[in-house]
Amino acid sequence: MQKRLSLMSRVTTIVEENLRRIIAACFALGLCLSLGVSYAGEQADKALAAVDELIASGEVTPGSALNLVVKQGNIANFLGRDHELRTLWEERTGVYLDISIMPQTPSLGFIKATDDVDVAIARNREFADLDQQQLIVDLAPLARRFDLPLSEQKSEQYILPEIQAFVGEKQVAIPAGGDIAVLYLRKDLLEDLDNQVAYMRRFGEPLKLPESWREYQQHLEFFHRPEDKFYGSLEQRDKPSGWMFWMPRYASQSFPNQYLFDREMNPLINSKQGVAATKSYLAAIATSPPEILREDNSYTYTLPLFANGMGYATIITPAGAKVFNLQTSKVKGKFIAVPMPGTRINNQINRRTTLIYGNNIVIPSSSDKPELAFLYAMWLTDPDVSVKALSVTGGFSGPYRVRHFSDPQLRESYTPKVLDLVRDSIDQVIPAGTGLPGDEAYIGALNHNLYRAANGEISAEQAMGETAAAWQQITELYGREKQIRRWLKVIDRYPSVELAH
Amino acid sequence: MVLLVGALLFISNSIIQDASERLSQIQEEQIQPLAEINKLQAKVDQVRVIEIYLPLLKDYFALAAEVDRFNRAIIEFDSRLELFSQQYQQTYPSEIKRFQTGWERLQENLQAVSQAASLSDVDEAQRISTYESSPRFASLSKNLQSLAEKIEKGSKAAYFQGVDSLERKRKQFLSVSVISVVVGLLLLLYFARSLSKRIADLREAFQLIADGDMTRDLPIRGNDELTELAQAFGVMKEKVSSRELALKKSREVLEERVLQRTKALRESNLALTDEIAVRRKVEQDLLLLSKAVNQSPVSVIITDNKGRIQYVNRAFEINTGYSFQEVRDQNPRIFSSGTTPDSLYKQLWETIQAGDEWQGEICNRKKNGDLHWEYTHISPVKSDEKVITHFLAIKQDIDERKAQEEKIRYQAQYDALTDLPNRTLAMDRLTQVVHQARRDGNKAVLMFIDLDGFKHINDSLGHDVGDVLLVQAAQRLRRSVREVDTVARQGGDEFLVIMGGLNSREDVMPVLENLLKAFSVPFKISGNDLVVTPSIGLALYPDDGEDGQVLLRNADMAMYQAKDLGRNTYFFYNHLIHEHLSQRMELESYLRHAIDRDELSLAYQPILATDSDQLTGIEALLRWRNDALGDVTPDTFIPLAEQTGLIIEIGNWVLREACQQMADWHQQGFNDLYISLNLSPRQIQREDFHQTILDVLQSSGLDPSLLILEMTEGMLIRNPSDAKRMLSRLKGLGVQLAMDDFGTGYSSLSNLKNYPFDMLKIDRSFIFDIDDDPSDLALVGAAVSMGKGLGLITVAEGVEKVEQQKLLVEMGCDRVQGDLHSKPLKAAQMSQWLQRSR
Repeated sequence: MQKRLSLMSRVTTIVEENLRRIIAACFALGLCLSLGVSYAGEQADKALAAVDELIASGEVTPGSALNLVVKQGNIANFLGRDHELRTLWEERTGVYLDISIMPQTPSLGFIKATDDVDVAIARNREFADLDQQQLIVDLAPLARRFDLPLSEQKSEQYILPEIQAFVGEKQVAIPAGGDIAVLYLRKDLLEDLDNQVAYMRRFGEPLKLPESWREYQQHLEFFHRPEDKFYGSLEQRDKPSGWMFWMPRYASQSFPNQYLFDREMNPLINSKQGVAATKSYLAAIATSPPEILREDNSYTYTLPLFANGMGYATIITPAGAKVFNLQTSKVKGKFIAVPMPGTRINNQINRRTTLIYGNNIVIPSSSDKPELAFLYAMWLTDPDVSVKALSVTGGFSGPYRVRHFSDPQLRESYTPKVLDLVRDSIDQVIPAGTGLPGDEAYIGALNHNLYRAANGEISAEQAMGETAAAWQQITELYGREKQIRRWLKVIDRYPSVELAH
Repeated sequence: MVLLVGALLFISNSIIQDASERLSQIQEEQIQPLAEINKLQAKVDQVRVIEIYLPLLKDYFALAAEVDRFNRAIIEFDSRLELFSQQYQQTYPSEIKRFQTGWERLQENLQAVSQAASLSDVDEAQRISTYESSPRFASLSKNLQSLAEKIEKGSKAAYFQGVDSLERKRKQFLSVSVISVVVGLLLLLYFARSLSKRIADLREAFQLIADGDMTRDLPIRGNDELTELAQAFGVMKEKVSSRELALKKSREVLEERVLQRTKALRESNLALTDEIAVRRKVEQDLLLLSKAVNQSPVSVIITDNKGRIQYVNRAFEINTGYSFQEVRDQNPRIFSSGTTPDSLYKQLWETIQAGDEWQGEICNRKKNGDLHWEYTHISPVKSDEKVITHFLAIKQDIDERKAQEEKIRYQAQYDALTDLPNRTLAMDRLTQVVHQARRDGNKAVLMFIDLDGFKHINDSLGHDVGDVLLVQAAQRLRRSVREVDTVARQGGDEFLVIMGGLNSREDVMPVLENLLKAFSVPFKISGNDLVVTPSIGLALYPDDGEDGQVLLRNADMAMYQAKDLGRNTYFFYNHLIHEHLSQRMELESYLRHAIDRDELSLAYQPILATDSDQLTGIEALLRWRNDALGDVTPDTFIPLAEQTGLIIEIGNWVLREACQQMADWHQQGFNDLYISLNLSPRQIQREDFHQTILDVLQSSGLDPSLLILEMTEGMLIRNPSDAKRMLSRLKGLGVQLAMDDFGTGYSSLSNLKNYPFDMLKIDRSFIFDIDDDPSDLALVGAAVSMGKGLGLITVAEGVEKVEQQKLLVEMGCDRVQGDLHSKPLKAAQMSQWLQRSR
């Protein structure tokens, strides 16, 4: 007995040593977390105190209203659960929120036409056009005045702040949604033994997570069973959104990046890489539902099909996980978010993704209350308040602060795997669109030709050729020299991560 | 006095209590339900507003958010109504019943709206909201309003009643209070004056004693409690002063002793407590760990440093069937199954004796003899002096995982239908056989076997029959080869046979004869006697290839050669096949660029009425001229185009060119001529082919009825149902359909009857000898009669002599085509021909 106790004692020592290491690690982690959250709430308090001062000084009249125009898909993230955030703001400040809605379309035309909106939503790729046309306010003076700078804590606080809030060195937006494109697949089908055997027989390789766009296409074809109304691909192919699903394919074609232009602003898309990306984009259509090419069939068409278990794969922002994870969803617990496929280069995978919708807050130049609008935006995007905003059921906005990835409430809402995946994908994100003034025209031409190719009107080669020609004209229109200077800055924001084995 | 105050308090309390109860009653019976009804109405209004709003949403994410809000509002209303019902069931039974029934019905509608909206079916949500839930909502609101009015009336009556009662009580209380106050005041005045004087005297005397003056006597007067108090205090004063001194001395001594003892006790107590805590902690830890190890689901073994077992836990006993007593002091090698290589054990011992951890998978044997896979992790346990004293082994049962891996491996390597190795495993075996042959310096052979006629059986009798046939064929193959040879299914109706250890090609011959003989007997399936024969291609190592992929490719090519030789035979690969293939690849390479390089052209041959020589139409014929190859005959390049799929692009080019040319001739005044051209099976199979025809007709402006599409019987036999559907779609465009080369295939009347043909073209091979060979004459006559009987226009191809045409006139054949009237001409020449014939 004595010997056994002695032996146990030594085994205990081994276990204790390991436990001690784990406890030390947990303690360190806890310390980090506590330091990380120490900023939480301060931003909101500061913004509210500043509103009090504005009212006290007479700059803002008590009971006045702030006019917001929000996209229908995002409004839940502005109101909060049961309008909790709206009530909180109005009761605390006495400033009313007059909210109206616009559809999930680009904001450029809308902001141009309006003259009484204080807070609006714009996509990342629109920033350059909005700024160049002087339609939105430079936020740096406001940030200085209220001592609420984005730049000082941006690297710790925000994901991709240069893309989410800046045009060049100028802050033009306040991040309010991180819409990194994510690939969702049906995990249950991937893990099914019969499927694994059948796939091995058909392709002579194991059924595993697709790494390349070629493997992804192979998956789409394997799972496509239109006779059962089950479709391989539920990627959108509507006219206004084509670029979102083409861009990750294109950018991954060369290492470190297949750029849109060379350093002289000559388009690089009319190339074998551009044609390969376009062919991959077009190939998925054969495994999509027949109505996929209808001009207005956006994600409101594709996502219900996926949630109802009628498809194998779709690409959308992290918010997709929230709706796929609802009790009413037929794919709850059956889907998985995986890294965006890439292109195999020298037997290694080059993956790229981008911010597709990216709805962040801008203040139109026509607003007569830019200070109040700025303070409202900073209050809403405070670390604590933003968790309440993002955790509502539904709502299109995705995580945009670093701490969102570890917040327990958001991990339950978006699922831990999706948040981990998005965090790990950040260094693969390329700037949205061209990042240049004229983006609306550049992307418009691309979308137009992709849509024609998707409908079989022109070939992939023609689509790239005609788009490149249109881009040359747009560049001339905006001034080649100016565009070259801007483009060289955009290039700096492209990722340079190494290839994965 | 006390009684008076008590009575007063009792009356006032009963009045206040009564008022409070009445207020509470009014609150409970009248105001509370009204407030609750108001909340219910507000909540159900909120539900209704969201319900109406839902179908107006256009964005999926907004819809998801609102559906969530909607569901929560429904649940909240349901909970409130439930509480309300429980509380007021007794008071308003009929109204509560109405609410519950109305809500249940409305709730069904609301849940249907929620369901439809969550599926993004906003039209259905709107329909239910507009036509079904709307009246139910109105009914529920109306019921709430009626109850509120009823309660309101009751509350007014209760209020006035309560006010009257309180007024009466108030007056009673006032009267009693006034009397009590007057009497009480008088009594208080008397007592106060008497007592205050005596108490003041006593207080003065007490104060002096307290100040230490023990000599002063106390003032003792009267005969009441105060007098007794003064006397007693006097006695106590005397005793206190005598004892005070003695007590002071003894207390000082005692205090000193207590201090010393307390200090000593505290020190020893602290030491004991610490020792007990340490011992208890150690015991608890050891007990906990011992229990955890013993109850762990994984097997745990502890040996001494010689490898003798000193401890096993419960899981080990369950997993292996051995008790601790049976294995105590034994070496773990008693579990060895004999399947694990000695090298692994050697490496294991070297690792752990060096003080490192070892982990890996080991197959052991249980007490009952069963083999058992375990994932084993062995750690050395060291003393404080770093000397190894024991080894700790933790073993996890991985039998299930191993079985699953085996199952996946089998399914991935074997064909589910025939149970033969599949292509992947076959290639693996081939590689092994080739390695062996290389080591032994002898030969190996790969046979590539394709079943002739299988596809026809599969298409005509169905996949079920085809599958049974494949299974039986696999069994015959298996029986025809040696035990050591591999028979595998390559896919479809293709099989592989791999043989090693051969000295020469002649060694294969007996097996080949067995194979051919095995298939000479018909297969009996579902009452049918089915004849299927093998075409076998063979490739030898090392003569025809040094690795598996090359041998497979060459055997495949040899198999095609065997097919070309007439099937049901074998063919050994030789380099000529390779050259043939190279030529074919060269041809294919040129053909891929034929359209881009403008090398294709069309020749046109007129078709005339047999009895009047009147021009009725023109057939377009494809020609290819290449700078390197010269003129390539259609018989050479059309099959290649079919195999490679290039026929689609070429066929569409022919269609565009021919239609545009005919449209041009129509513009030149040759209005009623039709253009006839040949289709490929691949073109017809395409779902978008009718759209292609439509596009060409629109772009050329050609009248659809003047386009004749020709196809052979073979196309229809491959997939009759699809072919019929596709031909009907083409027919729907208004074009005409012709059966080409009639007589060379099955010449089935049913093929003519079942499809929407307009024209029958009799093959030139029958026309060639029509004036010399009576059997050809009879055959053509029968074909013309058959065509006439079905209302088809008959066309004879390849007419070269006047005599042939005369016979055709007699038979009643409608039209002729051939060199007698014109060879195929280029477009420009054809234009001149047309001008001449005008």
